[in-house]
Amino acid sequence: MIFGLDILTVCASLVFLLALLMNLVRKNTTLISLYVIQSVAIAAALAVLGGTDGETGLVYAALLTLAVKGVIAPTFLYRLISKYSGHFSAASYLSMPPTLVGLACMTAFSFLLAPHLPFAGVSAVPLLFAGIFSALFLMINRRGALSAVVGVLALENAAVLLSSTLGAVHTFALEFTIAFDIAVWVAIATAFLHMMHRQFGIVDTDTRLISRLTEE
Amino acid sequence: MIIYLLLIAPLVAAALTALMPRGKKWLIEYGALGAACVELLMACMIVAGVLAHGVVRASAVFEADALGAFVVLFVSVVGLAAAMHSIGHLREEMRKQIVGFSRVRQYFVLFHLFFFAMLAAAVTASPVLMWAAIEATTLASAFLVTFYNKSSALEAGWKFLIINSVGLLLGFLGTLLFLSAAGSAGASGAFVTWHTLLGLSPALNPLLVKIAFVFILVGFGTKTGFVPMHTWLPDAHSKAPIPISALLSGVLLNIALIGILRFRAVVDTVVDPSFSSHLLIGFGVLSLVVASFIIYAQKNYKRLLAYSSIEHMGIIAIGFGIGGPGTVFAIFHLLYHALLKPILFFSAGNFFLKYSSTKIARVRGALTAIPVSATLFFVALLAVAGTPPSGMFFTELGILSAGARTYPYLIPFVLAALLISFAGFIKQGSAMLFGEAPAEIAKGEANSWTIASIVFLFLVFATISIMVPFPLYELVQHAASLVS
Repeated sequence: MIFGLDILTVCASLVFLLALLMNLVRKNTTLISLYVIQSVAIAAALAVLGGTDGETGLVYAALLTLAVKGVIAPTFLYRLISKYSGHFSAASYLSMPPTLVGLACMTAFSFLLAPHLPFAGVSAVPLLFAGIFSALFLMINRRGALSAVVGVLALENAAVLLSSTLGAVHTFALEFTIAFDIAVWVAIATAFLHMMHRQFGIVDTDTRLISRLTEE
Repeated sequence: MIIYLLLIAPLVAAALTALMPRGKKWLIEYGALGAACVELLMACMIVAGVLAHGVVRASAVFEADALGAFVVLFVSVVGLAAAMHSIGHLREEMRKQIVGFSRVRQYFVLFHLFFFAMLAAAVTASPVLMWAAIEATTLASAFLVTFYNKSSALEAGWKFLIINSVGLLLGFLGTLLFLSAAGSAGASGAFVTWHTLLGLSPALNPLLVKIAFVFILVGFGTKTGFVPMHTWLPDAHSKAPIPISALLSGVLLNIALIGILRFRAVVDTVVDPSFSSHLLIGFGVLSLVVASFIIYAQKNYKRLLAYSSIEHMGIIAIGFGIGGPGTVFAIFHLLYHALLKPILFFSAGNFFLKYSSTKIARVRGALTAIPVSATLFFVALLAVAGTPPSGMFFTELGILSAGARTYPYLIPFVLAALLISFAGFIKQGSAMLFGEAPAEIAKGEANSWTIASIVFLFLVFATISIMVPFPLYELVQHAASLVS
C-alpha cells in the first residue's frame, strides 16, 4: 500500500499520467523517457503481483519486461534520435488547447463508462482505459513517426496492466511472449524509420508530404 | 509430430535460404518448392487425422481441429502455388534487373517465415499464441510489402505495420479481457486454451465477454480488412510483390477472420448469439457496400482486386453472422475466395510483367498479348463476381437464401452491392482484355512457372466448384459445427 492505495492502482495512475504527459511534451527524448518510466511501472506491478502470489516466474517476467521495455526498446529509439536528431518532428496536428480538451473528454468518457463495466469498484480500470485512449490520441495527433511507435508501445503497456487489474492470470510464458513480440516489433519499426529517413530525408507522417506520393 | 513437422518445415527452409551463397539461386527456388510440398503433404495428413479422430494433438497448446485442418489445407495449397509463381515472377524481375540475388534470398526467407506464422496461427489451441502468430504474420510480411524500396511502397508498408499493430493491440486487449474473465472463473496455467474458455463459459462474466469481443472484432477485423479499419489493405496489396499480394488477400485475411470466429464460439455460449451475429453482419454489409462502389470506380487493377477482397470478407462475415446453413456456405465461400484471388493476382502479375503498369487504362488487348493469363484472369474474374456455375455463385445464393428467412431487409442492400461490383468487374476486365494491344508489347507469356501456378489453382478451384469431394465436405461440416 502506498498512501492508502494498493500498488496496482498506483501503477495504473502512473501509466495514465505518463500517457497524458506524452501528449503534452514536445521533445522526442522526453517522450521516450516517459515511456521508460511507464515500463518501469509495469515491471513493478508484475514484480508485486509475483511477490504477492508467491510466483517466482512473474518476478522473472518483471525483469524481462524491464530489460525489453525499459532498456532494449528505448535504446533503439534513443540511438535513432541521436542519429537523425534534426529530422524528427514533434509537432502535432492540434495545438495545445484542443489537445487538452480532447484528452479531458477521453478521460471523462472513461470515468463515465467505468461504472457500467464489470469490476466497477476497481479504481484502476477507468485510469487504464483513459491511458489506452491517450496512447491512441498520441498516435493520431502527432506528425512524427516516432510518436506513432511510442504510442503503440504505451498502448501495449496500458492493455497489459488493465488485464492484470481485471484478473488475467499472468505467467512467465505469457510475459515472455509479449516481451519477445515487443522486442521484434521495435526492431522492425526502427528499421522502417531508417528506411523512411533514407527515402524521404525526414521521419514524418505528415499527410501533406504523403499526398505528394504518386501511383507508379 | 505431424504438426511439429508442419511448423518446422518453413523454419528450416528460412534458415537454409538465409545461409545460401550467391550463385545458388536455383537451390533457394527448389527449396521453396520443396518446403511448400512438405507443408501440403503434412496438411493432407493432418486433414486425414482430423477426419479419423476429430483432433490431431501435438501438445497442450498445439493441435488441429477441423477448423485448423481446413485452414492448414488451403494455406498449403495456395502456398505451393505462391512458391511456383514466386520463382517465375522473380526470375523475370531478375532478368529485367529490377531485383538482384540478395533481394531474392531476402524475399524467400521472409516468405517462409510468413508461412510459419500463418500455419502456427492455424494450429494453436491458445488464444494468446494465436494472437502472437497473427502479429508475427504482420512482422514477417511488413518488409515484403516494402520489397521494391519505392516511396509509395514504404508508405504502404508503414501503414500496414502501424495500423495492423494498433488493431492487433486492441485484439490483444480483447484476448487479455477473455483471459481476465477466465481467470476470475478459475482458469490457471501458462496458456488458457479454447477448450478451457469453452468449458468455463457458464462462469464467464457476460458483460466482460461482450466488451472483450468488441475489442476482438475491431482488432482482428482490422487485419481481416473490415470497413472502416481497411485503409492499410489496398495500399499493401497494390505495393507488395504479386505472390505476396495473393497471399495477403487469399490467405492472411481469412486467418484473422478465423481468429474472430474462434472467440465468437465462446461468446455465443455466454451471451445471446444475436450479439455477435449483429456485429458481424453490420461490419459485413458495410464492407460489402463500400467496396462495391470503389470497385466500380477503380483505376488500378491491383487495388481493384484488393477491394474485391474487402467485398468478399464482407460476404463471408454476413454468412457467419446469419449462422445456420449460412455458416457452411460462408466456409465454402472462404475456400473459393482463397483459391480464386491468387489466380487473379498471379494473372495480374503477368499483366504487370508485360505492360509494366498497374493502371487499368494502360493495359489493352491482353487477350492477344498474353492469351493464357488473360483468359484465366477473365474466367476467374467472372467466377469471383459470382457468375454461375462458379462455386461462388452457389455460396452467395446459399448465404442470401439463409439470410432471407432471418434478415429479409438486408437482401436488397446485399444484392444491390453484388450487382454494382459485378458491373464494375465486367467494365474493368473487358477494358483490359479486349481491343488492340499496344504495338511495343511483345506477345507471349513471361515463363512457364507463372502460368503453371495459375493453372494449378484453377484446376483445384474448378474441381471443387463442380464437385466437392466428400472428405472436404465432411471437414467443412465439422469446421462449421465448431464456429456456430
